[in-house]
Amino acid sequence: MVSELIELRSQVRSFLSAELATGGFTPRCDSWLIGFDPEFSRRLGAAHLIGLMLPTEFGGFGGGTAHRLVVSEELLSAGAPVAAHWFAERQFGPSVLRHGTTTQQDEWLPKVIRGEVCIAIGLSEPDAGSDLAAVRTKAEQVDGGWLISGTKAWTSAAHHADAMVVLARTSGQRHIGLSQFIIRLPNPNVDISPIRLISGEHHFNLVTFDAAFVPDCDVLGEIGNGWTQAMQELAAERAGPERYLSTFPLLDELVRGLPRDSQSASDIGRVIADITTFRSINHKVVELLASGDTSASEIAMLKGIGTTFEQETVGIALNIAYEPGNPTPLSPNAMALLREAQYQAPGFTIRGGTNEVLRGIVSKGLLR
Amino acid sequence: MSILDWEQTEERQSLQRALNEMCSRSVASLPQALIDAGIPWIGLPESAGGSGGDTFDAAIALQTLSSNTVDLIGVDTGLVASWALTTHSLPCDRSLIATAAEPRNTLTGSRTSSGELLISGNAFEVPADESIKFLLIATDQDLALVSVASGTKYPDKNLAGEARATIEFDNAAAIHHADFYSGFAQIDLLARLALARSIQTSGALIAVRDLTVKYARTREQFGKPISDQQVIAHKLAEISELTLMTQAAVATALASATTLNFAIAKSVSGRCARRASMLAHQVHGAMGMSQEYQLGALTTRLWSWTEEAGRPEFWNLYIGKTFLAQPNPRLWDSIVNGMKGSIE
Repeated sequence: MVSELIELRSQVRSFLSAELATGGFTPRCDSWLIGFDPEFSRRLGAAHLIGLMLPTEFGGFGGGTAHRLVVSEELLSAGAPVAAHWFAERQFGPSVLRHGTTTQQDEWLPKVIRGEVCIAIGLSEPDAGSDLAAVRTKAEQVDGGWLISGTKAWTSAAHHADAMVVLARTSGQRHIGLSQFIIRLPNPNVDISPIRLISGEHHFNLVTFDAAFVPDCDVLGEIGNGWTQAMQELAAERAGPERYLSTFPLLDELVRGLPRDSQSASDIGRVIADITTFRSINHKVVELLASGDTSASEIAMLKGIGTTFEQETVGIALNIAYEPGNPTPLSPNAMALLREAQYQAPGFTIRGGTNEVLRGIVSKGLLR
Repeated sequence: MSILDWEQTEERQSLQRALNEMCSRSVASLPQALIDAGIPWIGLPESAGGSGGDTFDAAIALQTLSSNTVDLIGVDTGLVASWALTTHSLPCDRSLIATAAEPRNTLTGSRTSSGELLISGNAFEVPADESIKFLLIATDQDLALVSVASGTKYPDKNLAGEARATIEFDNAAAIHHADFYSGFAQIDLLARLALARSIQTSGALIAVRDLTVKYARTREQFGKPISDQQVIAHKLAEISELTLMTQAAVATALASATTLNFAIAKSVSGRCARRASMLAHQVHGAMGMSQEYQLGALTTRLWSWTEEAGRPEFWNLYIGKTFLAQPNPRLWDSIVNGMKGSIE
């Protein structure tokens, strides 16, 4: 097992160095959100480095949590542009495997694994953020399917997506009245408009559904099970190295070429200590997740401390960047990474459940 | 959850239960009972007069005793001093041995023509009360066991009231000594001591977390338990995060016993202890400041242990300098594969 993981790691590294050598990508901070490159995703899929935990019968690697973690952390630490397939691989694939029909599995999983499909996840709404169960997007049953009406907000990559998984209300009951639907895009009754970020970039969208039809065959899982399914997806979303490596490509770039007597040695030591510890927690957390324990406090705790650390690393990076004696000005590449990190930093502790929501989960566990 | 939920076995659980039970019957004779039970020598092979078991077993014992604020000077003998002695093929028996390895120590050794090693200089913050007769020290090239009586001891206490002496040596002859084995340096002994303090910190943090949660659910203000207040609940969550972080860093160090991982554990545990102790006091309000209440005994220990055996800042610098001293250093590779080499 250990040698298998070492082999897998070196396989990812070879792939990435070959990509870098041929100009296949430029490292970016927060690359799982802003590094959108469908061609890169396809090349990664062709190298069999997507869908590490999906079964071999669909073309997947058939590995365990440790395999997926190795590949994820190598890609993210290198700042590889994985956004085009990230949500499909992280949430959609596992969810289709767990809850989908055989037909859905046969249709979607091979495409997910080949890195050919971009999926958007429609959870948040203008009036349902931290209080996710307040979603108002409605699904009304009609002959042969459902009509979806409502608005989803902050939907990553919807403007590129081949399909969107929508959490919608199928009855009035708060949690068990929710269900998930796969809406194929583009769709004449679905309007997608950009929500530009403070960087000016377009990654998020406002998605409006005006009685968009979804056939019965595109219902994901059982009607009424949407909340449970969405929580499973959120647990997977919260439990990965994207919660402590978002600024890593910047740190990596800045420490190259620092003198031995750099004043930043202590900050670098602290970064190494903390990331080493997050990795250790992450290994434990994905084991919990694989055992089906999606409500474990440790998942919420890792995201809480990991994302707080990510934000602090922006300050550390600025200290290194402006260290007296450090060759100035910064290279254009380092400057681009620094700006990305600064623009993205506030979002680290918000997306995927705000740290306040997460601390609510943790304290509930403590006070139970 | 204890650190060793990550490497837990039935035997370790029963060791933990037995120790908790001994501590709950807390009486003046507890230290002696622990000594009689051989607790300080867990980790030292039975053939050498120890109690058997491995580093994990020693860690669980140390962690459990720290959760219970047990004062037993020399309790880390098996984990630190005996380990260093046996790995240097030096004799070791069932004695309590303190380790003096603080970064600001000024100990030097000189050899006589007959091959004796004479030790001079100061050892600071030595956990030595009257029960400690032997001291393990490291000069720049030798590991040496010296008699506490061969130096001049200035007894003192740390914030928590634990014995911490300054011991002054002036050409004191070592009882045993050996050249460092190849690859061993002064910093490696300090790191081992830092591991022990990190384990103790994890134990005290678990107790701080549990005590603070318990207090917050029972203390009522404005007609309801203060834990019903979101600001309080979030502080409890943060204490829990910091405890998890510490447990994970310690577990990593135990699973992969390198000086780098010991350094990481001390850096992480100390920083987490500083923050968590203040949060715990804030939740407790005035009550935490009372000497009669249990919190202060835990937090004063945390503050002492954080600054001993290399402060977090000391170890951050060590890790950072080790990184920068590599030829063509790469951050990710250093994290995944560790780092070798010296910072000299």
